[in-house]
Amino acid sequence: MKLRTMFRFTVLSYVCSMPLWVLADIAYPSTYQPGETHITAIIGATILTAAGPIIEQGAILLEDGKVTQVGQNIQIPEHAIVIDGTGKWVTPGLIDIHSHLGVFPSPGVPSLRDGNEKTAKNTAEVWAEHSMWPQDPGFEKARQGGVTTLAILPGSANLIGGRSVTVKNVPSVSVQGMKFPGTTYGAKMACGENPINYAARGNDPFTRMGNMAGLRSAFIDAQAYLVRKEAAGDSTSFKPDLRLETVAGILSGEIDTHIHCYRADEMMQLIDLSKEFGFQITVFHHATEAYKIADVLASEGIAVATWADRWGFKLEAYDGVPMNVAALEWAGVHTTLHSDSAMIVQRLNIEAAMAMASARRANRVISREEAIRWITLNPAISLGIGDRTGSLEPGKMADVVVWSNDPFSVYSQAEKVFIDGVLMLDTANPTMQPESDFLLGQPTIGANK
Amino acid sequence: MMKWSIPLIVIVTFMVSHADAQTIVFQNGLILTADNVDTIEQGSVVVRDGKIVAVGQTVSIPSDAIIIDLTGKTLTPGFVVAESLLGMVEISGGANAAETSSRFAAISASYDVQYAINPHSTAIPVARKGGVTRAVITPRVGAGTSNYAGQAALLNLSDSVAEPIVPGVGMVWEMRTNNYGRGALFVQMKSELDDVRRYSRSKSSFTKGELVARDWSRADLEALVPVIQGKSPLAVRADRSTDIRALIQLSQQEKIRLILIGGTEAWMHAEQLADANIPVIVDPTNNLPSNFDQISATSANAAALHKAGVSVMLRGTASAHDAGKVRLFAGMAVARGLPYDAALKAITVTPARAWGRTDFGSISRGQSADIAIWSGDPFEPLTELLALYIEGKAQSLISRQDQLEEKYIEALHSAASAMENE
Repeated sequence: MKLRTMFRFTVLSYVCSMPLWVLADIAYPSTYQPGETHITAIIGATILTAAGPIIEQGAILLEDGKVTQVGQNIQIPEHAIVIDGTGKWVTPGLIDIHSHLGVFPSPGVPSLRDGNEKTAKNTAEVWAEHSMWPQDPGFEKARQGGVTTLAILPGSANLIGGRSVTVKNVPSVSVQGMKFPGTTYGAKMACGENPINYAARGNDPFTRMGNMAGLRSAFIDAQAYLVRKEAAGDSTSFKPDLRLETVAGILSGEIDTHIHCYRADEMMQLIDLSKEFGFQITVFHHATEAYKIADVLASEGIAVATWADRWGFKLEAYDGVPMNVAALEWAGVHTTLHSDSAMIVQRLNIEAAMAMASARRANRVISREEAIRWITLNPAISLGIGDRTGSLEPGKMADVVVWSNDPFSVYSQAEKVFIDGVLMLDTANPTMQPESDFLLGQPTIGANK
Repeated sequence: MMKWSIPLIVIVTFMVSHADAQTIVFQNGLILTADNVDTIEQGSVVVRDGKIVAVGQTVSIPSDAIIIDLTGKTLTPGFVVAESLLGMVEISGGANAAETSSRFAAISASYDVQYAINPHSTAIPVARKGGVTRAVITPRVGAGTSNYAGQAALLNLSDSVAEPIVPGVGMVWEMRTNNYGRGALFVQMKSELDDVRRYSRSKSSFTKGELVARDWSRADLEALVPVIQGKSPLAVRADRSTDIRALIQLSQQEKIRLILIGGTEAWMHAEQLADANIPVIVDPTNNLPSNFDQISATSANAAALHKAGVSVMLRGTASAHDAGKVRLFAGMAVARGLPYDAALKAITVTPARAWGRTDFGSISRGQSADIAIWSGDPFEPLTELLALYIEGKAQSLISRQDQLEEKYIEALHSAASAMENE
């Protein structure tokens, strides 16, 4: 209570004296606490750790919410729950770096369209966590697809859409109860058709050059803001500006950039813009033409999050190709498969399989060890949580999926999902699957919804 | 007799395509027939003049036949997409490269997609690469307040056929509750059908004064005559349980042949749909309550309908660009309880028959030689399409996407030079 009061009435002093992300954590802290765990061993399974070679006949031990051992020979404590993983595959929990669950939830009715504050070309002041509806039934469906962590982004109809929030895919009545503790914020930015279409409402930008001018102006304003803020020192008379706080956070390196951009030439423009203002682009999202500039993206250290082969749904996506992800992987680009969809998030593993399959045309093979990283460790690293989740290594969060068979098969199902060592989903015990409040009392065909 | 291995199939059959009388024998493959015999191991298929002339473990082989060995490979019928915008949509938004509906209120039921389909769409080779050989192209409701979207057409995806479009394979109708409200919509639908019956009884003496439901164009009335005569199916897009129930009752009262498209809550009326012989086109991934008409969406829909005896057809989204993914959606339905053979039929013979076609859809004697050759289980994303035939002719599997990849992706350049050096 005290902290909240402080934020409300003495926010000014915090802004001046603390790094921005500390302000954010204090203001809207995560209250996520994993439930009770039991020491659990999964044995005899095929394990894809995302951090090394495939382990046949492998075992993994989950203790106090962490992975403590993984390998062919592990020490299993006497009182551990032992799960026979014969014929099963084990992977890290999947991570979706581009989700609108909760902000564009199901049902997609007008009164729940909370994902894009498209009232101005720059709405950097809004935070996705202040829109996210934890009762979106899509979270549960994503968990059934093995997804344990998501980055929830605002929409892309304007140049700067607001801040993202990273959440654990756990049932909760509040966003705070899902928030992944200790994460950095991301700013959602957009280029291309979406911000231009927004102009149809009578506002700028009207063109791609208008997009660039709008973005450059926002960064120039943020530069000036930082100067003013520094000059104010500890003065309580300095009035923070929520919009400029986010853009200034990009300049100071405290806020990551997640840029919706399809075309290669526009990504090149954004790279120049990042050099003009001295920030690092974290991830280009969608990036259906990334294969055309794979070498540039690799040398600039810019990650890409995209689909396996979506294309043609607008002109800027006309040149999307199935080999995009494979080409980026070969060029050394840090690559992730994302969903941007309440349906695709349920089968990120199939997206990965589709991207793997495209390698055949080049007479090359992408291994399962490589492909699993597109949906686990790589997005974790891009979200700044790669030190805590995304792979099955001792000391990491026990975010673990047990699959019925090879997860790159269309028939594979996530049978058990652990989040921080807590068994959150078990197809053998369907009654333990929590239902969204929204679906209570509705006609249902049974557990297999 | 000549023996050829799989990498040579395309080359060989390009030669064959110039000599239609040539007999092709596919030998030693796993044949998934989508016919009553289901699966034939170590099977052969004989093709002559664009038709399948023999199927089985032992077939007689003409001395001049080209033999294609399928050891370790799988042969299926070409896939039939039950409902798609393929050819109508080159690019979905913002490019003025799509037409999905009538923009003229006086033309609704008579709207005819045959004129909107572009057989040169770059999405068609992409669909072929997913093993698709035929697709039913359906319009959306358009301008005005009519619930009739217009006439569907059948698209042959062949790269060489002179007339790829068969028009008028069915009438499409869509729930449009915003314009009417349900209480008005079904009352209006019945009066409209009454108008059509009056018109069809005495076309020559028909005067506008006899019509009560709406201000019809003669073209719209004419287009609906085959529907009330039971000659042409009425494909209805509806999701909510109560709408599906109302449409079943109406089809029985009016003696109309129905196809249900979407059918999110169809599982709640599985027995009635089976009894009424109404086939259903289902998206097996549709499991979210995306609006209040789809509250009871479930990925078990397809399996529940099949279990009750309904003819199930599968599609993913109706998007033109994703038509080639229909094989993966079949796999997803299997993962949610639909038997494998039913899933295969759901993307081959069932949609062909539902839309009134008996000349293709299965691997059996007399059927058009629409044939796909796979490296393994066609429903698996890691399985590769090795060759595709439509009416016995090998099809190009090169898309605009392939050309873009070759232009930009280094690995393809080195792969190409490696092959040249071999």
